[in-house]
Amino acid sequence: MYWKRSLTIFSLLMIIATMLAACGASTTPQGGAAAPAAPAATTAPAAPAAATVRWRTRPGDAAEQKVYEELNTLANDQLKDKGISVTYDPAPNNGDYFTKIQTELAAGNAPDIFWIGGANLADFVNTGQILDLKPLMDKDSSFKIGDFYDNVIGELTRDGKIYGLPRDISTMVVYYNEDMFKAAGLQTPKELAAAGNWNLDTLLDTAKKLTDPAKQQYGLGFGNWWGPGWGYFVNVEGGSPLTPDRKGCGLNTPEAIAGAAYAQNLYNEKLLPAGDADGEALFSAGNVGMYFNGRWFAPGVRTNAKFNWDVAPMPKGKVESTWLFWGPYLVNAKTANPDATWEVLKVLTSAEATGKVAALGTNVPPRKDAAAVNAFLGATPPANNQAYLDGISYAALEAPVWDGNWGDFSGKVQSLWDQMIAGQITPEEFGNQACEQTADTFTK
Amino acid sequence: MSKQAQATVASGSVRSRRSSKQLRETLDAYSMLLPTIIGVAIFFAIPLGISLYLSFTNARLFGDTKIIGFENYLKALSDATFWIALRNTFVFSLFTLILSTVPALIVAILLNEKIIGRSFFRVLFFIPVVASVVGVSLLWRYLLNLDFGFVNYAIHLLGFEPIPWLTRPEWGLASVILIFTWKTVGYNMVIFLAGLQGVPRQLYEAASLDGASRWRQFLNITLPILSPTTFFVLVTTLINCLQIFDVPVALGLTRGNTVGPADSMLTVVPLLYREAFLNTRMGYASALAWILFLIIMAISFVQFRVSDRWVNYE
Repeated sequence: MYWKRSLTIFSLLMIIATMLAACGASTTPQGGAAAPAAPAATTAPAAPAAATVRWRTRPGDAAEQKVYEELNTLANDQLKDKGISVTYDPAPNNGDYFTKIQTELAAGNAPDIFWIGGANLADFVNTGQILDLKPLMDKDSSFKIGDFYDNVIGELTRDGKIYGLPRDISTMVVYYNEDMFKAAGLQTPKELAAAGNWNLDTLLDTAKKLTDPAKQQYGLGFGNWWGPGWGYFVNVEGGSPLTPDRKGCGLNTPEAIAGAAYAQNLYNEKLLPAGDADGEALFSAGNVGMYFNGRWFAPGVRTNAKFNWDVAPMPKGKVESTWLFWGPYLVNAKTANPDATWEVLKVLTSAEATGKVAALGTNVPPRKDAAAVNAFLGATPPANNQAYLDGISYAALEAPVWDGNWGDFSGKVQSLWDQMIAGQITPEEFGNQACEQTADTFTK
Repeated sequence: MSKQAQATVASGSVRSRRSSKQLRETLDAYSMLLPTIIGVAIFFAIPLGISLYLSFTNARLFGDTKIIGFENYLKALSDATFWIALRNTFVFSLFTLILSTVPALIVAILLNEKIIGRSFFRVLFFIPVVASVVGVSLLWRYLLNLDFGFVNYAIHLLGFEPIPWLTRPEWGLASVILIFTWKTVGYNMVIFLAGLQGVPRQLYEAASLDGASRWRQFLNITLPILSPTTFFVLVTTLINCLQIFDVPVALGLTRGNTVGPADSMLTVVPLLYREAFLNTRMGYASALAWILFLIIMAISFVQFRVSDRWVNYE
């Protein structure tokens, strides 16, 4: 009898303990919750920490994570005297990065500063989650917003408020296998560009000459997503995926359809490997002659490619075009100490810090000042780093859709694009159906 | 006191003793059940209720939520993507159901015989069941790759054209069927094996004395006695098929948020995941979940009703 009663009491205690533990989780301090996720995180050792600031990026690999850990040390060193302690809290590089942050924002335990992709800005700002930095900038005489690229700051500005500072930018360029061009006796994209003859016609011609099914060799490659895919081809023929006011679909214009038709022909002629990510591996393995990609592709090519390679600007169509991808650091509106967070943000976006990140090779610095730009130009290979900078002036910016849902829009377009490159629908059908099916992604 | 009265008092005290004992036992029983009851309430019943409520709202991850009646349900009916997902789910389920039960039965019968290396083969068929879905899906991504995949290399050696398993819309779903079947056959085989062990030997002996062929024995003894097992396998496999999520997502989710080329691997659960967590439409995704629930319930109901005609319980 006795053991039975004690068992009852024990089980009840267990239940209560479980419930208390469940309640306790939500009140765990931020630093505590972050600690297991950032084993290598460094915190200021000596100075009395008046404020703790936690920040996050999404490193693609261990090398990139190490650079951010170094930045964390840099921030701690510089802000020690102000009593600010800084913790780096990296998140895994998978499809759930934005979901994770949004969930944490909803739960109230998101980092004080976090990086996002430029196209995701509206989702965060529209819901009132992000701190307006304008007042902090205005009262800080040491800060010069003019050091950053104006077009990027323009995207971060809305109704006179500034919702973040850019961490990095990257234009899209053509990576090419110099050895393959030499073996085929062809002019490289860089040489063609220098001669003013680098356009969609010479691209097609070169891709055809380099393609050799017997050797499993493709002339061209690019990831099957909006950047190098439908976004670029529609833009370069003078169209645009969205209407000029970005409140509707622009894919049914003759220009956009011409771009789609050009791309469909590349697939019909089997000039590029099908699939999304596989092409990157094939380029690094030496099976692809030219590959459209952003700066983030460079470190992997450096490590894996056993051939000479370089980069060149994107080919010209009716207009010059490339993408300017960028990502800002945003500040959580619920940050406990906005002034301390601002100090940390300034260090993270300083010429020294962005230069360090650029030297790693993954990004182009978001700043125009010489210190940052020179650090980037010196990060070779590729020798022609200038190609990334040249595109900035005419690039289309990856930009938030304020009156719609970009994720939903691009997903629906991608599905139709897949059908088109598989030859199941025509470029006209692609353009028209895309605008019909995405109409409701713009009405809120 | 008369004998009768004595007996009444005695039985009365017995009754009161019994009822207080009963009460204590009931309390004991509930205290034992409580952890489960609380667990089910916190992690199942309450979320279930919330999701039903959300399905009638325009809830997103953030912002104001207001009740919009059946709008989400009506939207699903007019959403072309939902119909694609539903069609893919049914095509996938039909093929997988056939391909993962019939071969499982055949393999189970073979491995029920006393053959050399029987345990080895049983383990071999069961390994895919134990392996992590995401891991094997990534592995299959390499095996099925158009340019450097082993499967296409083998097809090439046999003198056929390589198959664009993962890169053409018309092959996307076939790849998912292939992998899910490969993962499910082993599990179904084990269930069938257990069923086969329960078939009394003497029935076969009697049948062979009467001159029944092996095929006759299979049709008239094995199949009827195995029918409850077959029914269990069919019901659980079909439910698992209708809820498929991991294989299409691990195999096909792209940077463009499509699941397979042209959404060819998109089934209902990946669609509701995409709507909830990538497009942050919690209300709409909840409605999709409830529609799927109703579909599964309806199909299971039909299965149970039809089962009266062919399932024999001893």
